Amino acid sequence: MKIEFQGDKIYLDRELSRLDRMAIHFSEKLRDAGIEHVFVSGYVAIVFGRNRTSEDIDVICEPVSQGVFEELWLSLKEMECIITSDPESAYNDYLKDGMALRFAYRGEFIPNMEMKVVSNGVHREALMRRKILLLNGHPLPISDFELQIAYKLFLGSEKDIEDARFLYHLFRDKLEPDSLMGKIKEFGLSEREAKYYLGWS
Amino acid sequence: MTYDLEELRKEKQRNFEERLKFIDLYVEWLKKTPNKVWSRQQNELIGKE
Repeated sequence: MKIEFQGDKIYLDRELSRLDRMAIHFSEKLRDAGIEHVFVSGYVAIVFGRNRTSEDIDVICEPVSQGVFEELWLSLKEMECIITSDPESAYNDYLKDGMALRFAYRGEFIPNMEMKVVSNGVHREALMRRKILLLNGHPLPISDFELQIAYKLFLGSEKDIEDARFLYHLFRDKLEPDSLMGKIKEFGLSEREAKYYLGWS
Repeated sequence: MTYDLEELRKEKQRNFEERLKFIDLYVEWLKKTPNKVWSRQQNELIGKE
């Protein structure tokens, strides 16, 4: 794998997948609307080669006004919201209440973009400490690895632990061990168990 | 038919641990494999655009 790290930027060139194309497209629209955002969860592992698929890509956004959201809505010409067709309801009944909206390419249902507004400390930190992945030159803001690994362990399903193990092993030389262990403890996880699941010897 | 649930739980845990070890092997392969190769193989699973 050829991957380059330069400060907060990560450079990766790969054959793009369907998920990558959708993430790039949605990120462009968010950026055009001036909405700060970060990709989190499974996609962060999948984009670096984790061999599993996902029905959605999770993206966390900063709080936005209704006007800015409607601008985004109108710009998503190739995609549609599969939760509601009414932008006012999407904003007031979902986004403002911290509930997710899902956008898919028109006529499709899967995969879809799961869009949420920051509603907890993990979201805030992911947004604040995001790195920029340049995927074939396309900028994608992604959660930093230490937070992602610790949070995945906290979520605790087999799939989540496998994602954490994958990221840990792939980026072991780039991670800050003290920061990672600090986060693991912040999530109330035991050091012994976390190290066991990560294969951290 | 009765199942030995304790035996099944142990089997489930063993399968999970084997998958974790497989991830380590996969990552080692990924690290030494050109991006074009691993991403093409991944796309056969998750779908190329």
